[in-house]
Amino acid sequence: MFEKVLVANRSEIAIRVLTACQEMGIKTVAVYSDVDANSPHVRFADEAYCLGDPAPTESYLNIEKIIAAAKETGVEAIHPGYGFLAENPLFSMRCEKEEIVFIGPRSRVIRLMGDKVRAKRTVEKAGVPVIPGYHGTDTSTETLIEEGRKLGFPLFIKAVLGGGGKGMRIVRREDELESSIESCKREALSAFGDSSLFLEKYLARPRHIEFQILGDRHKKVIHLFERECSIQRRHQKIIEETPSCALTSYLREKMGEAALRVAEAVGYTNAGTVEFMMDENKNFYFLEMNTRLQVEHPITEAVTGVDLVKWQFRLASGEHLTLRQDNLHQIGHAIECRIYAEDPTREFLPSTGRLHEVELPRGINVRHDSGIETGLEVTRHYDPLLSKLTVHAENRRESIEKMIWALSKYVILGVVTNVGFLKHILSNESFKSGEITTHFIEEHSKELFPKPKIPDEALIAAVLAETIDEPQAQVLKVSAENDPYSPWKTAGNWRNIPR
Amino acid sequence: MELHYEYGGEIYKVHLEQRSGNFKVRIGDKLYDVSMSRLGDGKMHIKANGLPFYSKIASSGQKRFIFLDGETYHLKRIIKPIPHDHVEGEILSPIGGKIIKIFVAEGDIVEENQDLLIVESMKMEYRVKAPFKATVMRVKHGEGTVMNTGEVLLDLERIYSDNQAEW
Repeated sequence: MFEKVLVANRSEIAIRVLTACQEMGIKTVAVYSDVDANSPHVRFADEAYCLGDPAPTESYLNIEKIIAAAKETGVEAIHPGYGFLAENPLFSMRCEKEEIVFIGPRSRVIRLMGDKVRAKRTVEKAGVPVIPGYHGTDTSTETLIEEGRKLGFPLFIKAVLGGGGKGMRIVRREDELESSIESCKREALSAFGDSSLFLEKYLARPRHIEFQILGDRHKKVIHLFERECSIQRRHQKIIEETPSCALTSYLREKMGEAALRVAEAVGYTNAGTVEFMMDENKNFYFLEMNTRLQVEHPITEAVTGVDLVKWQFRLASGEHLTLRQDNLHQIGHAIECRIYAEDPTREFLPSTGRLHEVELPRGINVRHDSGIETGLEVTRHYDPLLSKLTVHAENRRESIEKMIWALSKYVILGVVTNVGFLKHILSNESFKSGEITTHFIEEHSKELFPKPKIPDEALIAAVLAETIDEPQAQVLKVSAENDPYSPWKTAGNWRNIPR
Repeated sequence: MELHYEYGGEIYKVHLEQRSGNFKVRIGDKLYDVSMSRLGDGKMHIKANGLPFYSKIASSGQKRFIFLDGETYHLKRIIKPIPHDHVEGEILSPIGGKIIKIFVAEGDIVEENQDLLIVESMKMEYRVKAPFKATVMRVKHGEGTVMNTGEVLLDLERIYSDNQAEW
């Protein structure tokens, strides 16, 4: 096992990975940009290395700086988290060259799966169905327009090197095709450094269901069942759950086998996720493979009891995967909600500002992966994900109830968040009965975006707060005199011992 | 005293009177007898007409953040009610970010919903569209400018078509 590891990420995922290291007795190094100097993940590590300029390309995305940090601090391995350099084959190649272990699959596999078109061809050869579309090498605007017309509308335009909901457009009418292609090209170029696109048929009422994979360097691969991530906005997941109520045990087995075929076809090692789309008739199609730890990994950890991050470290250090497929089970039901600094009523625009107050829900089987605390400044430099709330209960109904409870105890004052919106979704009858698709939010927009109403109680609280605005010292006095059993009475004189 | 708050585009008037530790609050035509116990850090247990509830409040300048029953309300305290705050043709930046593309020039006539410019934030593109048919009077910033939320991007002058004057 490694002695010392650098975590090349920030916020909640950096903390998640650092926690696993600490539990395993691995020494840790965090990295941070200037604006993150005061972030919890920096303090959480044994050492921290400043990357300077907050612009992602000058900090968390900067290969040279991360490699320099790794060398200077003498680490043996780098964990990339998700996003940033997690799926950048140049980075993992560079690590290989510098003899630093990259916690993830080999760079060859990252490159293959990162090219969404080559990935589809490979997967198709392995006998797994893919979504029909145009996957050609000519990605000029003219050709895409022509192929788009042939495919018919609506259709998806996607970046060949895309992911995470970026560089992606849905086109409903022919006259929107050209402008969508151009804006998609620009976004793809700025987000992935490459403007190549492909086209995909738009499935009606699809569900997004993905399978978690673990593979070792000795050709053993297992899956840890599915996660349903159909609830999305801007093509990004906001609520994930497992098990999926769309799967029968037969279908689960079939999809699990397909996911393993995908992993085996490319010689997959470490943790990864095979994503499928499922149509109304429960036909499933390979969408893409994510060659990293997923944002939503906590729900899999909840129902299987497996710590995926610890396994990432073990597998990367060459250990055998000792988990057995037939010993793995899904126990109960888990849901994750992604807490974003964004305004659902204004097309989910990110919101920035200081967090005046953060109070996290604490409860039974409530997990909180958080990168925030009172006083933190949410800036416009990075993704607006603040934290992830995960609950685990006996069944789906109880899991939903628990999540609604946890959200209603969740206080974040200072930026606009999606907490209330998440609660509307979970309380929605269609959601409760499991009738969900990736279009859920658009299809239920009437119920999910009620006209803003303010109860009189909130206004009363507001005016009362004005009356106590003047700063008053609130010193709590320990009144030992009144309590005959107080330990303060018998404690004697305490003093600080100078070191 | 009378206090004004803005929420969801509407102004709320709240009348408050302090009476020996308790309060009388009037909102519209509703009257409340209110008592409270402060729990510190902006936390309060409140009783209004006998009904108890819990709230937590933080403020920053004129902004008020109120947590109540699982919901968070963002209010703005209005010290002096401004009669006409928003100029119709001012197009404000919907978000803090960088202008990466401007489609129009001064003097252009734009149709309703026509793209005016693109602001990029957190690697996402936001298209700012014309709210109505108008003439572009001023383009206030160039491509590459970093904007704050609510800053004026463009000035438009609305064009009313002759045959369907809007009332």
